Amino acid sequence: MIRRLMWNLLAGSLLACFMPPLLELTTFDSIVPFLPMLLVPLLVSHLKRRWFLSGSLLALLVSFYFILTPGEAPWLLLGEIMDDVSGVINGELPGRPAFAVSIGLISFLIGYLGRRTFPNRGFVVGLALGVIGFIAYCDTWTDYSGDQFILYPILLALFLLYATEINERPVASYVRPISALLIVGATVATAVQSPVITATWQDSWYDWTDGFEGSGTPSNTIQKVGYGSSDEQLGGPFQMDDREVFQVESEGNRYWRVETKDIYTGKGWVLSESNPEIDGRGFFSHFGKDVKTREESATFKLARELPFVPYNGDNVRLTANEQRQNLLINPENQKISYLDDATRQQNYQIQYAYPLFTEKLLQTDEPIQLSEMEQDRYLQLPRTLPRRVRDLAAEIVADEKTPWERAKAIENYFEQENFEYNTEEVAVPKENQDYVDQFLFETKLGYCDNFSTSATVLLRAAGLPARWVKGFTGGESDVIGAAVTSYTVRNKNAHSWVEVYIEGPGWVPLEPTVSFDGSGQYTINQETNNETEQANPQRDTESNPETATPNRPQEDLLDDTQTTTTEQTPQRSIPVWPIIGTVLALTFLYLFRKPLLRTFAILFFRSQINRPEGFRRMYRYLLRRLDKQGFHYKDGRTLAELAHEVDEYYETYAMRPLTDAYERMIYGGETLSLEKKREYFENIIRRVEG
Amino acid sequence: MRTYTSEIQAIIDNVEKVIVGKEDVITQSLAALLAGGHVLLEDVPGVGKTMLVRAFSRSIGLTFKRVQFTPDLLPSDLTGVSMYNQKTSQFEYRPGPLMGNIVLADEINRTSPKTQSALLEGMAEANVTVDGEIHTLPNPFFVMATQNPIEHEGTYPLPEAQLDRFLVKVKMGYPDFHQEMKLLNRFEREEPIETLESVIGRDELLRMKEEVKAVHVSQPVKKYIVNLVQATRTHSMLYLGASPRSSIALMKVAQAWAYMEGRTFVLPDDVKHLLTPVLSHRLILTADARYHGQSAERILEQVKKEVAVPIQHDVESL
Repeated sequence: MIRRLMWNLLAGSLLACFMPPLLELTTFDSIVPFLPMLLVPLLVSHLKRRWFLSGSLLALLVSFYFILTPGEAPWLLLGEIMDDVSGVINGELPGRPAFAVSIGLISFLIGYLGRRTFPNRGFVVGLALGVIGFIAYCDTWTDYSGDQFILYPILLALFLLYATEINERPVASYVRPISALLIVGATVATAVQSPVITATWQDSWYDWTDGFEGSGTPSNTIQKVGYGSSDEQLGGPFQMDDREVFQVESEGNRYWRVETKDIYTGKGWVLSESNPEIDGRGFFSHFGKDVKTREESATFKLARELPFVPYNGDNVRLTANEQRQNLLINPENQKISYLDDATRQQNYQIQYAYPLFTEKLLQTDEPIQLSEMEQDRYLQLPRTLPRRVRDLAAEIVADEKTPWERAKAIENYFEQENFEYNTEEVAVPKENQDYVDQFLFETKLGYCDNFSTSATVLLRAAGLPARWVKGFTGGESDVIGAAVTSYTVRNKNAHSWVEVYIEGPGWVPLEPTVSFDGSGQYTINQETNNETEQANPQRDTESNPETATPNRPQEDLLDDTQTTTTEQTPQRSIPVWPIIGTVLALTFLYLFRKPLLRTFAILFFRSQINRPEGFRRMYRYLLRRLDKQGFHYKDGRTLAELAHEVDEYYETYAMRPLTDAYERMIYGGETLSLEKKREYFENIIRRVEG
Repeated sequence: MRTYTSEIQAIIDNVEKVIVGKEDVITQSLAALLAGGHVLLEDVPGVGKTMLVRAFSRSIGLTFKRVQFTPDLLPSDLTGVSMYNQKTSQFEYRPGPLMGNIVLADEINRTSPKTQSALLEGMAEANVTVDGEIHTLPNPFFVMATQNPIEHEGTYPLPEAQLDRFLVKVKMGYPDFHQEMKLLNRFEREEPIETLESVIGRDELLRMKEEVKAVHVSQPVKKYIVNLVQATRTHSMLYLGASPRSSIALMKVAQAWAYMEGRTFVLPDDVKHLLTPVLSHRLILTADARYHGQSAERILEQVKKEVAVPIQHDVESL
């Protein structure tokens, strides 16, 4: 009994080793809901065959549910449990008290089946491998660092193995597959679907959605500090994410703008206090009145629902279902979203005014006429900004005459100074370190956030109003050169750049990030025609096929907000359904392996069995199958003895005649003359695989 | 239950009229007879060794001779002597008790090695040499020697080289309760041995011996025999393993056994069944094994479990 208790404690501790990474990585911030998951199986396991106690525990759990949720019909329990299960699978931790009961019941089942099925070394080894593998997985793929912790499960597993008695119990045939299925299913579900906040496996998708729906964030979300979950804290590496965001048919490879941010904190970006979004044909203008524009339209096919409208230029109108839709426009950050969530469209068309700058217009030297408030916003710099950043800005623009030239000098600075584009070795600034300062003077290596933020800060330091823009680059296209081309925009195309305010043209985009085709250089067409098109953040594919290279930067959108909503569990890049399908298929094969094998064997040997070689093969196959059933021919049994045992065991008279014929072939050199071979064979194989 | 050919079954039934419940001993001895070998019976007195031999000779209609081995028995007492015939003025050969078809050499370990070797020469060569003359022993010639394992005082235990010449060693053992009751019932009023009639003749026996030689031994079975014998040579508890002669012996007895069961080929089962009687007297245990109470029989059981039965022609495994 004490030994059993010890065993249970050790097993429980080993099981508990799942917890630290789980707590660190999921939005579950408390261990309490998991306690039943640990305690109940142990209790069940410890109670052994005391049905009464196990039953009482079960009853207690159920009544607990009714006490917590009075007045509910009993049959609702099942539904609630199903809800809870799917909730957990979807990464949701329901707040209801019934949840703990559900977990308890599931644990009861798992514990019971686990005890019935794997009370032996195999179970311990499997458990240990599971825990260690899980920690290793988390350590490799997520923020969690298990190098200290991994020692505990290993030690526990060794102790547990020591304490484990080999205790094979005969188990009903259905128990093993069911518990295997449960355990595999739970593992897959946990591994794939748990609401993990992975640092290096970022998914910009739900950051965006959260950014938009900030108010809808459920109370059970928690904040996690780590790289890039927010623009407030920039820095750190990330990985490419190839999932598609939308497809767009447009007249050129355009950048798709989403929003801007104005306040630089020294670590990242926040939005100054924003007014409520303005309904309507809401209007803001990026460009001065002298800027010529061209009406363009683009057709979007969203790969998934987007809580914002990517757009380009000015005066955006959206048509869906052949109807003009109302839009919510936030003039503070120029973010456009649907007025009504219910009408979020998977396919729509936007019209917009695409700007056509001219060199003449850009080279103006007019004084800035922004309002004082706007000037404050777009020239804002944190007090903590190191002096040397301002000095650098002054130095870069020293020889430039017009604001546009100064802006271009800053844009080109990174290229000239051989800054490196890199997404993997990007540092996170130390506690008292400025993000821009670190990039400009220390690392000189980073991705678009580093470049765009630094450029914005430098522009502001040089006295040019600037704001930080987030959006997507143009994506990839299979067809290049057609008038209207379809581009695929993926998560990795998420991008950030800069807009500088120049009196006259208005807000002009800049591309400071190196390796981005021409680094945002404006190849201004010097035609006399005022209609000269300006390749701006929107680069035409025709001229800039590089935009289609997979080397696109994409980072920015990854980090809009710090919160991850459990509600919005995104599709992971691990394909869930194929895995589940495979698991199910394997389970099916496993469950029906005997009939399948039997049928296969019967069909396979049907024609062969009358030929000596075929008969020999059949007999040996039979021996191998029997060996699996525990009739070993290798430990000195003769075939006749084996056949006798087999027939005795299966209560058949089939193995003996077959063996007789086989012996005559092998030892007697006679050709076989056994009638009803096939009958005998089918008879025995049915029993063996039965 | 094993099944035998009718001739063999007839002999067994006949012998069983006298010997109760010793089918193994009977069949194994019979196999040795058919294989042209000799039997060493090892057991305490009074379990029916002599009765067995007599029943055999009666059943087959052969001449039966019995020699009680004593310390003062001389080789010439066995082989016979040449005596001067005054009438013919010539030495005449007077055959000894060895000149019979079935010879019971009782308590063989009581006589001197010299006499023992005279017997063994006869067993091996099927002839004896008296005064330089070679006299051929009758055919069939079948020796059943008994040995009392209990008494060691004044005995000359047979050296291993000589034990090797016995094809099989069988142990009679005591009958169980029912068998012994049956025995008493049977012997209550009469001597069954006196009424025993022969069921086959000498010629039939010779024919059967020829037929035994024709029994097929397949490669896998030979491989099995060799594997078994070699396993005894490398066994950690055996000081001396079985000789190549024992491999041959095993094969021959297995042939006879297969013949008795009416088969034209040897099965590994035959070999396995006969392993202990054929090999047990040819092995020497290490002192350590003896000290730990091991016996040759037990070690052979172990060997049987360790050596896999070849189940196909080629060497490749399943």
